[in-house]
Amino acid sequence: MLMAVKNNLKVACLSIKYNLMKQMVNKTSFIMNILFMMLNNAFFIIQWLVIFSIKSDINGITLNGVLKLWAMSASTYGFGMFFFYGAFDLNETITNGLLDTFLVQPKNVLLMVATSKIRVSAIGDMLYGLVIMIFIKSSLRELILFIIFSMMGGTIFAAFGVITGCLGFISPRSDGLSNSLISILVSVSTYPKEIFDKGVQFIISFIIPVASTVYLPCNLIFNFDIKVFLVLLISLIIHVSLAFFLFNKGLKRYSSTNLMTPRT
Amino acid sequence: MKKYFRIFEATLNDKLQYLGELLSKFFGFTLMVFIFVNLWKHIYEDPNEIINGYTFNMMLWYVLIGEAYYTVMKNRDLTRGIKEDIVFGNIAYKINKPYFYPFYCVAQYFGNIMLKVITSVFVATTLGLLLIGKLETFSLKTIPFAFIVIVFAFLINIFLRIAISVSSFYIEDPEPFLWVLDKFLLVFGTVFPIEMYSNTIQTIIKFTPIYTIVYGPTKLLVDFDFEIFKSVLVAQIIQLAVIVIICCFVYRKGEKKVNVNGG
Repeated sequence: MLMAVKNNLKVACLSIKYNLMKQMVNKTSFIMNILFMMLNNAFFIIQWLVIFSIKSDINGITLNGVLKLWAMSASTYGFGMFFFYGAFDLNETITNGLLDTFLVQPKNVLLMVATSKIRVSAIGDMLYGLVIMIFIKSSLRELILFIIFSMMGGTIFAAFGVITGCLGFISPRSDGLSNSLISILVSVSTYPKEIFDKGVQFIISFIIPVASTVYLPCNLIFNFDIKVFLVLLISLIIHVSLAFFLFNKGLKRYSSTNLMTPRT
Repeated sequence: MKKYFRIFEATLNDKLQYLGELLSKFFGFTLMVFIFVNLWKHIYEDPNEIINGYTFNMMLWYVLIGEAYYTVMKNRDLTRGIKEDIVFGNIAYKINKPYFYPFYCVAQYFGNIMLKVITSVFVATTLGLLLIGKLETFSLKTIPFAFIVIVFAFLINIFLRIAISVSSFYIEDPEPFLWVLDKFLLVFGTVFPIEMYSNTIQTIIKFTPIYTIVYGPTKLLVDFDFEIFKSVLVAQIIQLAVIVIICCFVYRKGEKKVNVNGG
C-alpha cells in the first residue's frame, strides 16, 4: 500500500517536473507570466488603499489584515493551480473524452489527471504571497507556518476543483457551473469575512470551503491554536476523501469513443 | 460589410444554443455585486452621506453597472482564440479567406457578446432593484446618449484586445498583458469611479482607455452630464482611430512573418 502511494507520488512529481521543463523552454514567456501575475495581484492593493483612505477601519479590519489575507489567498491559489492544475480542468477533460489517456496507465487516475498540467503564472501567485509576508515583517516561524498552511489550503482548493469538475460526469455542458463555483471561492477569499453577515459566513465555511482554504490558515499563522489546526486537518481529509470518492464514483459512468492522445 | 454581418450572425446562432451555460457565467457577477454591496454598506455609515460626489445609491449602481459591463466586455475565449490561431498556425488558413482577420475577430466579438449584453441588462437591473433599490439619478432620456458611447467603448475595447493578442506574432504569449489591461480597467474604472482618486491620477486616467471604455459609459448611465458625454465621445473617437491604426499595423507586420509549409 505504502509502496503504491510512493510510486504514484513519484510519477506525479515527475509529471510536474517535465511540465515545468517544457514551460521553461520559452524563457521570456515563462518569466513574463510570473512577473505579470505578481503585478496583476498587486493592483488589488490600490483598491484597498482607496477604501482605507475613505475609512481607516472596516469592521475591525485594517490594511495589514487585508494584506495577510491576500498573501494567504494568493499563495493557496498558486499552490493548487501550480501542482494540481489538471484538477481545475477536469470538467473539460471528462467532457472531451481525454480521460482515456489516463485510464490505460497503471497509476492512480485522479492523481495523474490532476498533476498532468501546471500553470506557470501560479508561481507568481505563490511568490506574491511570500513577498507580502516578508513586506509585513513576518517572523521566520510565521513564514514556515505560511508555507505549510499554503500547501494544506492549496490541496483543499484542488480537491474542491475535483469535486466541482466531477459535474462533468453528470452533464457535458457543466463547465460554466464548475468554473463559476471555483471563481466564487477565489473571489470571496480575497475579502475579509467580517464584511459578510452570519448566513454568508455559514455558506463560505461549510458549502464553499473558503474558510478552510484561506480564513483558518490565515488565523493559524498569527494565532496558532491546536484545536483550530485539527479542524483544518479534518477539513483537508474530508475534502480530499470526497474528491477521490466522487471521482471514482463518476468514473463508473464515464464512457467515450476511445480517444487516444499522446502526452508530450 | 455583409460578410462580417454573416460572421456576426453565425457566432450569435452558435451562442444561442447554450443559453444555460451563459446564465451560469453570471454567477460570478452576482457574487461580486453581493460582495460590493456588503463592502460599501460598511464604508457608508449613513446612507445619505456623499463621498466624492456619490451617494450610497449612486455608488452601488456605479459598481453594479461597471461590473456588468466589465463581465460582458472582456472576452477571454476570443483573445485566447487569436493567440492559438497564431501560435498553432491556423492563421495561415484564415488569412487566405476573403476577409481581413482583425475585422473578422470584431464581427465574432459582437456575435459573442450580443446575448451577454441582453442577459446582463436583465440580470443587473433585477439585482440592482432587489439589492439597492431604484437608481435615484436615472433618466430614460440618457439612454440614446449612453448607447452611443457604449458602442464606441466596445469597439475600442475589442480593437485594443486584438492589438495585444496579435502581438503573439512576436512574443508568443500576450496573455500577461491582457491580465494587466483587465486589472487597470477593473481597479481604476470599475470598482470605483475615477473621482475616488487624486486629481493628478484623474487627469492621467482621462487620457487612457479606462476613461473611454469603462468610466465614461458607466458614469453616463448613473449620473448623466452632457459635458461629460461630449468629453467622453471626443476622447473615444480619437482613441478608436489611434487603436485601429495600431492594431492594423501590428497585424500587417506580423502577417508577413507567417511561413506556410503546406500540409
